[in-house]
Amino acid sequence: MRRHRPVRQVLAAALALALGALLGGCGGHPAAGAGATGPVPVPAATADPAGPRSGGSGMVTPSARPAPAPKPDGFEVASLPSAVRVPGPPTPPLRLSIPAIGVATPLDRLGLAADGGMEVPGDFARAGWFSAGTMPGQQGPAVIAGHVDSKTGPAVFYRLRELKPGDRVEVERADGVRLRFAVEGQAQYHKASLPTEAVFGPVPVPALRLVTCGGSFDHSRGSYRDNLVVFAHLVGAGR
Amino acid sequence: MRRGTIRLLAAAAVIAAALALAPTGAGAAAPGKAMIRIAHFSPDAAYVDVYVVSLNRNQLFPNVFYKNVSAYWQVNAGPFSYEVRAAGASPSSKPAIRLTGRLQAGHAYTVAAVGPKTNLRAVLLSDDMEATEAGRARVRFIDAAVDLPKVDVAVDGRVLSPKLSFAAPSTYRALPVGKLRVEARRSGGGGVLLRDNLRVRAGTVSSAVLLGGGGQPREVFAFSDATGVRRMPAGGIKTGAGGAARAEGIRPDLLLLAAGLLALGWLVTASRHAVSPARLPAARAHRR
Repeated sequence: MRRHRPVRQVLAAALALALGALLGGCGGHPAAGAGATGPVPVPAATADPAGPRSGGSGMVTPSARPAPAPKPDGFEVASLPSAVRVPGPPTPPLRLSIPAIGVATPLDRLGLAADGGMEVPGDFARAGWFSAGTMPGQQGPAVIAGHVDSKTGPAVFYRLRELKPGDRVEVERADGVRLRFAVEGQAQYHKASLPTEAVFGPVPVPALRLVTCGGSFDHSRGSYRDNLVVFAHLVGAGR
Repeated sequence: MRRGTIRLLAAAAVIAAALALAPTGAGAAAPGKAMIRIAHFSPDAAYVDVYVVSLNRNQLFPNVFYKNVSAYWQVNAGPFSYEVRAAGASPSSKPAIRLTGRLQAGHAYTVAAVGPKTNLRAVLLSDDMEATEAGRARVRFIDAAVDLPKVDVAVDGRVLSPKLSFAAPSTYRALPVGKLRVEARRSGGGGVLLRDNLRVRAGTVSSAVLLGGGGQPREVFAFSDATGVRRMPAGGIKTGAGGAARAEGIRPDLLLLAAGLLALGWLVTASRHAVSPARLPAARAHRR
């Protein structure tokens, strides 16, 4: 019995390594701070200039001067969390770059197809922005899709599955403003049961979803069985 | 702890990890995280210091004022507390209001201070991120006006939220988009006490707060809870032609689950051997 124990330990280690490799390689899900120890600040937009607005009065002028802040032990003292400031009016995106996986592509505009589905880029080397949805940098889910492969080989989003939490994604708008997003995680969904709400549904922050195909290829239908979705949120903006 | 038990726990952890990797519908907050924001609707409380304590953060926001609504931020799900003190008051002084609650992972919350400064109250609102119907918006109403009786809220002439009580939010209601006329009428057939416009866009979820009293004008103060796309596309997205498809079609998450189950089977067998009473004396003998 005892003789077997080292063998088991080796096997256990090998299994752990194999699982680790799988975990690293395959589509997890929005795994953002799952393993992180520190806080994950999510810059949010509540003061969306195009958002709902009351027709009432403007801001009230404070009647008294602010008091100096107390300094309790163990507390972070900060002003109220505010949305990432995005310069200029909402503007369509032109380019996408993801340095971690060598993506630098112009963005086509995608709308709704005749069958009610989302259009996909006609060019396998270019990604496209779902222009019937949210503009990147605005509160809500901006959706960018790209092919994983063409009939002959890898396409623009072939390496999307390699993205990890914290990786940077940059979207450049037509007015030159660069929006910086941070990857939260990724998820793989069976196309037949794609939870459209997870991709297109309401979110409280300016978010980005990068979509491509994943899983196995169904040769009889000529399409992949799954969609791979990378989730990211806005962390900065500037010219 | 017996080695067998430890192995079993380890195997359970592996399975749990595999199951956790199965896709979920959540895309708004990271696992184990909740989103929270604070709002201040007390018209005469001037500046206040707001203390928010969650599992992973102790935060103080000094000098919060009337109609301040913060952006959301992420904290660890679980118990949290919210305290409000007059600006500059000692952190060890008795808070004007204190609220404790439990934040659920994947959910979003607004904690608001309402009422006149002599009778401050805290409300914990659970914010909705459900999708809107195509081309429509979703709005809830909250009465935080300190000088209104119970009201019926009407939108474009139709009563939508009858008998709205102070600080008790209505449910989210589907509304047409554009400029809407909002009225707060004295409940039970009284006159109009507040009239304002509200502008909503398709795909948005928002909160509309009735404000007023304490020297402030009556108004509808609206802010966004979440935004989705106006009209969701249907079905999967066809982003691949198969030229780089791997030969075998195994879903990695299923493969991982299978590996986890195999590991469980193997470890359970191993642990049974390890704690088998028949084997114990032999093992001890061997050790000697």
